[in-house]
Amino acid sequence: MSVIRLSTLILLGALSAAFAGPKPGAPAPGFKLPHLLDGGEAGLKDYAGNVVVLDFWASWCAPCAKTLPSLSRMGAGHPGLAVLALSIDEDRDKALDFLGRKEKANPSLTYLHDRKRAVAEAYDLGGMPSLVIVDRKGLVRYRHDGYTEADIPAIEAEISAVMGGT
Amino acid sequence: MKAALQAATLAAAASRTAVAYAALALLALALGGCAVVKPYEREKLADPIMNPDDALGKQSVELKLFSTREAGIGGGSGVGGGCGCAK
Repeated sequence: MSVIRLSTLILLGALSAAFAGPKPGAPAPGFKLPHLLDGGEAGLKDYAGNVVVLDFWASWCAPCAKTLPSLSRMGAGHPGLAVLALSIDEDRDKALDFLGRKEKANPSLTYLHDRKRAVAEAYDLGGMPSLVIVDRKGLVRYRHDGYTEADIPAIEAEISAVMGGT
Repeated sequence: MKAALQAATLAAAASRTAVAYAALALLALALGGCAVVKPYEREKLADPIMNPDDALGKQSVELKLFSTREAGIGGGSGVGGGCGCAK
């Protein structure tokens, strides 16, 4: 019996350690990444004082093809909201192909390239795509690890609450 | 008689402890072999070639062999034949 208890504790410990990213209320880890489409870099500090949505996507993530357009609408529907779409593709060309070689890239989103997945690791994503809402103080307010289109209305409501609340 | 009973009880307890330690060692070994692949590290795993039901790769190879063996255009999209060098 004691062995079973001990095994359960070990397993629970391993699982809790598996995802240890910043939880709501914690400061959002800063970063600086190159733009995916053009030159230059951008980071979280550049949007200090704004509500920021971080969306992690990849060309190999099938649901991302559906969530990215929803995110574009979200970005356009909330003036003053910064939506950073972080591609975690190793190969920049694959990410560009996914976006239809820039033609389908939405101007309301800022596309960044997290090629080494350092930011994905810092946020310790628990699914793909993942979305993090950062408030004006730079704190993580909500995070959705592995969200789908069905979560978009809830995410919109959260964004509205964060934009109106802080 | 009592001494024999005590010895048997002690032996049974020792046996249980040994089984418990063996189970723990097996669990440690099993967990040691596990590697958590984070969702953002699954680019290679998400590749269609990693599908055990690799219909795409398997079918293309089978079609190529078939069209080569039949020395002509097969029933599918395979063209050419003979030398096996046609795409």
